[in-house]
Amino acid sequence: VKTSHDSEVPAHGQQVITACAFIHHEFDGVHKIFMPKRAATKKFLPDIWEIPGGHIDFGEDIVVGLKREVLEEMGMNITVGDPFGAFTYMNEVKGSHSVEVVYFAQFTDPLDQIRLDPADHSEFRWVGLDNLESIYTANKNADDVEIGIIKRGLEILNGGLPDVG
Amino acid sequence: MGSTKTTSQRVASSDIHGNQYEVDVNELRWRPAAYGIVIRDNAILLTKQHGVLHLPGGGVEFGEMPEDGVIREIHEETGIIVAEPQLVHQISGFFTFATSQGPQHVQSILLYYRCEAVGGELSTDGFEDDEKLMGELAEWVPLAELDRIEVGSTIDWRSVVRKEMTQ
Repeated sequence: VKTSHDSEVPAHGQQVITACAFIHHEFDGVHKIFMPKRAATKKFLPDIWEIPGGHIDFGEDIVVGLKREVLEEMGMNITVGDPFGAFTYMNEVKGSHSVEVVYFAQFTDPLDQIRLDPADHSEFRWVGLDNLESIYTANKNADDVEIGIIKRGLEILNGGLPDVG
Repeated sequence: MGSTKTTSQRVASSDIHGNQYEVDVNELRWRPAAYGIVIRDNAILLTKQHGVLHLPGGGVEFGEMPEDGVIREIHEETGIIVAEPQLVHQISGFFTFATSQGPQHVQSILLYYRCEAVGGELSTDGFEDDEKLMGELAEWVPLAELDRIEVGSTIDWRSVVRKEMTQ
């Protein structure tokens, strides 16, 4: 930590940290990610498929916070592994800059016990590299950074080493 | 299901000098930061301030992508151009900075990116004003010397580098 960035403590808008769970499962040898769709009633990005997660509370450990969010939104417990990607959103509704850190994760409860909170999500889908396009929308498709992170996560699971250039 | 949030929780925060502060969580702000692990020819790229070595990197600016931030900071602080940042590790902590308005306590998320050096030369040309006062030319430090170098007081980033060396 450097003292040379004192002036960069957020001054002109709030930064928030969101932890996201790349919850993966292997179906007949095919790695897939659990992708819920944001509820139509959401003010920010309604009806958009997303890597689930949520804001971490001040003072809260980021892994504890991520487990809490998934339990609240899906009724499921998870184990959390390493982070492998981060991206940002500008939330025009709240005027905030959200830094989203994506962690490998797995459900520890049986998959038939998933219970979405309808205030957060309307449905879910297990998505692999072969059906990734099924969650594309007009503003979130092959060029989107979150989609890029999903691709990278699935490629890592499929045994491809991360591309380090 | 209820949130675990409490209103009176306190955490321990420390500053660059090792001073400890007990801070109400409601006083905290977030500070996302991104740091680069750049290894070339068995040497790691490090910045130097007052003789103390640091990983290059720093705070992610408002609206900035963390990986864009790490590329920008590395170039400003070292002169080296890097590409293909890949997130490999993350550490959280509570830190206190001195500001003109008094101490600012932050909950920091430190993102560590493995990057490839693709160009540039060691230089101080990109230093910001405060870095010009405290900073020295960055160095490629042999990995074999990692155990012997002096690091800053708040986070010993060498554990992250050692983890990367075994990958």
